[in-house]
Amino acid sequence: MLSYIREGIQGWIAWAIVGLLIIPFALWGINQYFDTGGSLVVATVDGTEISQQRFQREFYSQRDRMRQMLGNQFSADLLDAQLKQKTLDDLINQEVLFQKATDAGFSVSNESIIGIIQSIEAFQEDGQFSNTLYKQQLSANGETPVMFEQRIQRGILTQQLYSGITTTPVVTRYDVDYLLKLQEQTRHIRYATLSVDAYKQEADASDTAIKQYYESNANRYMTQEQVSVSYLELNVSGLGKDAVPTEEDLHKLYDDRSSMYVVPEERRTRHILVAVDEGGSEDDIAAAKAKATDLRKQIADGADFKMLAEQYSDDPGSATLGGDLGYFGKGSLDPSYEETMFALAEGEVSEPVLSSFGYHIIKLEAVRAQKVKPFEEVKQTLIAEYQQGIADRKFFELSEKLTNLAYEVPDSLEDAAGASGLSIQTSELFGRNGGSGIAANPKVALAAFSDDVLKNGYNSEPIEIGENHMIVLRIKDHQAAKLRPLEEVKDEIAIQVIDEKARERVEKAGIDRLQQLRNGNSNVAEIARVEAVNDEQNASTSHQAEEVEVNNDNAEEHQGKGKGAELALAWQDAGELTRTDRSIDSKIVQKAFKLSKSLDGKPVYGGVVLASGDYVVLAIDKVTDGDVAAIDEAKRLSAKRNLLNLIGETAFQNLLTSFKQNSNIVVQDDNI
Amino acid sequence: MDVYTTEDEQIAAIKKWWKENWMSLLGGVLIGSAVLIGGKYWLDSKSHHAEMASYEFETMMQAVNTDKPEQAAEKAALLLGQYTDTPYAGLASLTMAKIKTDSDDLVAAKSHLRWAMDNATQDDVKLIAKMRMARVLLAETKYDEALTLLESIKEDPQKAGVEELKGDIYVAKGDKIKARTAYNIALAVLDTSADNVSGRARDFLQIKLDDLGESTVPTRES
Repeated sequence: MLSYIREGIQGWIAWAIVGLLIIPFALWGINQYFDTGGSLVVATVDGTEISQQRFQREFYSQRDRMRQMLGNQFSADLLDAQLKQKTLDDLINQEVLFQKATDAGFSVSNESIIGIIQSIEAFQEDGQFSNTLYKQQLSANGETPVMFEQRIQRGILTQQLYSGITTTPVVTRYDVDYLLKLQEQTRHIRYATLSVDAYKQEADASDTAIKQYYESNANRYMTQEQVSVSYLELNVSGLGKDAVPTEEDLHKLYDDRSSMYVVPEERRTRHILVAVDEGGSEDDIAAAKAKATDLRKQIADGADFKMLAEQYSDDPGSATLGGDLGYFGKGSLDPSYEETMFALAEGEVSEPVLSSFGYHIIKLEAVRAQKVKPFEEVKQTLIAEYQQGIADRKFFELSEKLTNLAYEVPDSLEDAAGASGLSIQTSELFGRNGGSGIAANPKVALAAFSDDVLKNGYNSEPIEIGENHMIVLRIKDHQAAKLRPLEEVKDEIAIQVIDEKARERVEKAGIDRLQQLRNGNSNVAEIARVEAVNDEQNASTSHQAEEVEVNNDNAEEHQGKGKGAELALAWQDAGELTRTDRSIDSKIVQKAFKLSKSLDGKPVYGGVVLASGDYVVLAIDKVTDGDVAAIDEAKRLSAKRNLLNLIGETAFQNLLTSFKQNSNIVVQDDNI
Repeated sequence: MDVYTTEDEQIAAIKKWWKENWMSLLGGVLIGSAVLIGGKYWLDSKSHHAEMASYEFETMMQAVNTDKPEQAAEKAALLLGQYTDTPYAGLASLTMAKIKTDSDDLVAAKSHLRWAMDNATQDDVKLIAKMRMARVLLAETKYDEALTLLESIKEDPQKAGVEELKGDIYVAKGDKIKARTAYNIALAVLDTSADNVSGRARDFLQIKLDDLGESTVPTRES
C-alpha cells in the first residue's frame, strides 16, 4: 500500500492533493498561516489577544508624550504604574469597541485606509507620499505596514461608532432653558456667623481628656520614619580637570574643528542673465549667446552694468537690484558661475558664461577674504573641549564599573568605591518626602524607601540625578516611626481638645438658633428680615455686608454670662449671589443653593459649619431663576454645546461600560 | 485494511471504489468549491456595500462637524435610502434628528427618531433613539407620553441617563418628590470613575437635585 502511494504520488493523486491545498491558500491568502504564534499576551478580550509587544509600544509612546509635556519634572518611577494601567485600559477599550463595531457591521475600505495613510505628513517627501519613507518610519517604530494599517482601521471604526453617538444628541430649547435657569439662578443670601473663638476661651482641657485624646489619636503623634544613606556620587563635571593636553593634542583638535574657526572666502557679484529655457534648441542657445555677447560689448563700450542688468537681466530676483547677488562662498552657486566668479579680479567683467540657467555676464564687486581664528585665540576653548571629552569617557567607564560592582556585591559599597575611586559619602536623615542635600531629589527618597534597599538591605540601582550625574546608595541608618512621649505633645493636644469642644458647642448653639428661626417663634428673624428688606429698598444694588444688630427676646440666655456673641445674630447681607460666587465663603453659597425654595414668601433658613469651625446661620430671602429671555445668543449656544457634549459623552461612556460587561476580558498581570 | 490480504487485492478494491464513486466525489469537490467561491464573492460584495456606506457616513460627519446641515442631510438621505441594512443608517437618522431639532422642527426630528427606534440595526442605537425621543417629547410638553416611553426601557446600559430624563420630566410636571427620587437613582448608578465626563455629569445632576431643595430637619450638615 505504502509503496503504491509512493509511486502514485508522482501522478494524479499528487496533483489532486496540491489542487485541494491551493483552494484555501488562494481564497484566504497566505499571511494567516505565518502569524507569529507564542508571543506574550497582556490581556484577551473575547478570545482576541492583546500582545505584550503592542502594549509596550503604546506604553512607551504615551510615556514619551508625557515626558515631553512634563520636561524635567518627569519621573518615570512615579508615573509608570499609573501609566501602565491607563495604557492597558485604553487598549482594552479600543479592542472592545473594535470588536463591537465590527460585529455591528461597521467597516472601512482599503482605499480609505490608504488615502488616510498617504495624507499623513510624516510619510511625505516634498508633499508626495513616499513608500520608502513610510516603511522607514514604521520600522523605526517597530511596526510592519500590516500592523499599522490594522491600527488605522481600528481607529476609524471605533471613531465612527464614537462620533455617531457623541455628535448627534438632540438638545431642545427646553433643555437649554432648564440649564440656564439653574446656572444663572441667583439667591438673596443673608448670614450670621457664630465664632468658634468665643467658645474656646471658656473651654478647658483636663489631663484626663488630654490623655484620652493622646491614646485614641496615637497615629497623629508618631515621629516620621527616617533614613540616612551612604552613597557614591559620580558626576561628569570635574572628572577631566586634571587632564593636561599636549600641544599636539590641541592642534589635532583644532584641525578637526577647523570649520568652526575658519570663515571661508566670499565674493559679491552682479550678473546679467540671458535665460535659456530648459531643453532649449541649438538655435535658442545661439540666439541667447548672441544677445549676451552684444550686451558684453555694450559694457566694453562704457555702458553702465547696473542699468543694463535692470533692463535686460532675466533673473527677476537680482535685476531690480542692478544684478546684485550679494556674497557667496564656494559650493552654493552653479559650478560654471562659481568658477568664473572666483577667477575674476575685483571690478572685472567676464565674457558670457553658460550655466544651467542660460548665459551670464558676471562682474566681481568685492571680495571678503577668508577669516581664520588663530590657534592661540581659541586655545582655552580647545583645552576645555579636550577635558570635556576626557571627562565623558571617564564617566562612561566609571559608571559601568560602579553599576556592575554595586549590583554584584549588593550588600556593601566598599567594592564599588574601591574600583571607581570614589569616596563613600553620607546623607542626613530624611523621610519619605525627601530632605536636603541629595535627598532633595525625589528619586533619591523613592529609591531609599524601596523594598530592595530598605527591607532587603541591597544597594540601590544607579539613580540618575542629572545629566551625566548619578549616585548609588544604600541605607546607613533607619529610624522607624515611633510614638512621641505625651509630655512633648501635651500642649499641642490641649489646643486640639479645646478646639474640638468649642466646635461642638458652637455647632450646638447654632443648631438651637436655627431651630428657633425655623419654628418661627423668634423675633430675631423677622426684625432682621424687615431691616434687610428696608435696606435693600434703600440701596437695592448694594452688596456690601451690612451688620444689623438685633435684640433677642430670650432674656435668660442673653443675660447669661455675657455670651453676647452666642446669642445676638449679627446678620450680614451678602446680596443676590450666583452659584459660583466667591465673594463670601463658598461653603455658605453651596449651602444656600441646596436649601429648598420658599413657598410662602417667608425666608428659608439653614446652617453650615465652616472649615474654621465657625457656625453660620443663613437665610434665603429670594430665589430668582436665570432670566432666559435676557440671555444672549452666544451664551445660549455655548450652553447648548456643553449639554450636547455632556449628553453624548455620557451615553457613549455608558455604552462602553455595558460593552465591557458583556465581554470576557482576562488580564495577565504577570506580563504587564 | 487487514481484510485485504494482498496488495493486488487492495489495488483492485480501490479501483473498484473509484469507478463507483468518482462522479459523486468530483461533484462534491465542485459543489464545495462553488460554495466557497460563491460565499467569498457574496462576502466581498456585502463588505463593499458596507464600505460604501462607511464612506458616505464619513462625509456626512464631516459636514456635521463643519456646520453644513444641508450637505449632511443629503448624505443622510442616501444612507437612509440605500444602506438601511448597515449600522450607518441608524446613525444617519440620529444625525437627522439632531439637525431637525437644531432648526426647531420637532415633528420631523421625532419621525427620524421613530425610524431609528424601529429600524436601526443596533439595539444600542434603538435605545439611544428612544431616550432622545423622550427628550423631544419633553420639549413638546407631552410629559406622560415621554414617561411611558422611558418606563418601557428595560435595558440597563443607559440607566443613569434614563433616570435623569425622568427627573427632568417630573420637574417640568412639578412633581418634586418623584423628580428627586429619579435624580437620586441616576446619581447612584452613574459611572463612579473619576474621569472628566462622569464628573461633569455628576455636577449637573447635583445642581438639579439641589434645586429641588432638601429636607428641613436640622442635622449636623444642614
